[in-house]
Amino acid sequence: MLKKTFASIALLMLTAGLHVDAAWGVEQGSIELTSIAEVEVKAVSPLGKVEVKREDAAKAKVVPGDVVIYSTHYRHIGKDPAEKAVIINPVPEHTLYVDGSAEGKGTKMEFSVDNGKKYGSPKTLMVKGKGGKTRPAAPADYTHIRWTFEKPLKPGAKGGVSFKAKVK
Amino acid sequence: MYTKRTNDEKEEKMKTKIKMRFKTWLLAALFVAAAVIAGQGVANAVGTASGTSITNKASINYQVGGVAQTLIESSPTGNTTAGAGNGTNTTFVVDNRVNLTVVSNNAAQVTTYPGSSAIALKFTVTNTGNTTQDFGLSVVTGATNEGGVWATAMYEDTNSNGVYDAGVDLAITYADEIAADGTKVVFIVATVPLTATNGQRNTYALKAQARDSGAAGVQGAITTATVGADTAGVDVVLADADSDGAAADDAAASNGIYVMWANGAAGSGEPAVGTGGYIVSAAVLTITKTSAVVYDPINLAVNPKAIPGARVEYTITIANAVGAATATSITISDTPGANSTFYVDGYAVGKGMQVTAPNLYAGAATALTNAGADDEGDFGITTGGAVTVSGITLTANQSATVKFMVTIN
Repeated sequence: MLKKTFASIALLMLTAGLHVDAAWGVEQGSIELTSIAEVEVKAVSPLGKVEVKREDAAKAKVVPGDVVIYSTHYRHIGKDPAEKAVIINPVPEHTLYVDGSAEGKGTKMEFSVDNGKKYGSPKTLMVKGKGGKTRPAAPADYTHIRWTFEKPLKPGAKGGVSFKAKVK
Repeated sequence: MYTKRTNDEKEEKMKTKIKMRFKTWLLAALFVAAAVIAGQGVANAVGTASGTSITNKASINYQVGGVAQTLIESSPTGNTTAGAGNGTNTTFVVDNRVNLTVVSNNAAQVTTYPGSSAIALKFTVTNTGNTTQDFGLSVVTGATNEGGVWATAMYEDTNSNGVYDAGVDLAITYADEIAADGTKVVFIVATVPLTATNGQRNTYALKAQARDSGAAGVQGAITTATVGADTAGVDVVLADADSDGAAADDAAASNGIYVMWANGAAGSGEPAVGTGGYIVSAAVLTITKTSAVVYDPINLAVNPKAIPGARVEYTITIANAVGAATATSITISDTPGANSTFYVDGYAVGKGMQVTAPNLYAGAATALTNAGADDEGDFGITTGGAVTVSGITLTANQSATVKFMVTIN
């Protein structure tokens, strides 16, 4: 077991270097990252059942007050495990993070209230309120979300993290 | 004006509901003040302007073999090219959520008066959508219109004082160019016919319909929802079909219309009778005239008879009913009948009439001169050959009397 690990790390370093060399001015990464914005649309089926479908936000009517689901999908296309992978996604302008909506299997989720300078768990975050007094941060104060993968992503691994934001 | 002539010496009672020239205490100011407090509405936050693009780009950092790799940004379709700036934003455009509210700023019932065209029902139209809109306005007449439907007109609060000012506030048929979160005060003013009677009720609602903003000073076309799938541009979503201010139940048939009754009930269903709108407060005046022989040349004041040379005193009593509106500027006019002559010194030298009215001389019986202009009474000045007493005010359940004497020819 130990031996194998050592071997793979050695291989990793080698292949990682190869990747860089192989690029023609464009650095090909090992991970494909896709961000999609969707909204939940209620539709009544022919049988009269109300079904909730997810629809591309760009192809749906989105108005203030609507909740948009942001999903970031990753797909490991390289040959070597990606260690200490961290996905960062800003809460878009004109939207507010929906409390408790962040999801990400196998990740540690942290939030930032200062445009990504510092991250922490919700309880540790403080913001300056009116009059310069600091107060505990509210979900609406979050500017960025960070998902830190607890384990390396193996080649071929794919998955996603997500959060919801409400259009102001 | 009411004139009653009689020579009949018997007691004669005439109970007639009369329309007398009167002005009313304009309690309007009081009612409007109460309305402002009662009808305060809370406007919804409007939100991001339509047409705004909302963009998002995620990124991933990772290491391979303990070596940090260049970050990779996301794209809507998937990006593998490393490096900042190589990703593509995931973007959508905020569409036009057309929404509005109409709030009633009225007391439960607004008191008006026969002949009045100065008492307003006040409403506030608010654009709770995220785009500048015009709002078409119309008056909805309730099923409760006792004494007939009255003529109505709509006015804006031109001088922005929150109160309808006849001749100052201009008539409108639509609210022009109301920005997101903007409001417009709209008055419905009914012209109450003089035939309206005390206690009659008429209910009205203000209907506002979203219209495209177009140009200033021009009412735009009715705003319609974008049918079918989202387009690249700004789509229109009509909110709040049932005018209840909640969006949850409007998915089926939103129409961009808001109907608000004067009592604060939203929607096309008229509220219970008598809970809102106008109620007429009319004066209910009753006039009674009696006569008595007070003196004759033979019996003098003891059991006098109506013989030539006798003096007859007429007593005209005017009363306003319980619960009626205050009548002001009441004028009583009476012409002595044929074969009789007004007795010029009936109550003192040169004072041929006597008034007892709550608003005059502290309610004490007071003799008035026959001359004009010096007091409320005259003989033959205001109207030739007639006794005239003016300036009487009667609140509900009050009465006044006017007395004068004639000599039988």
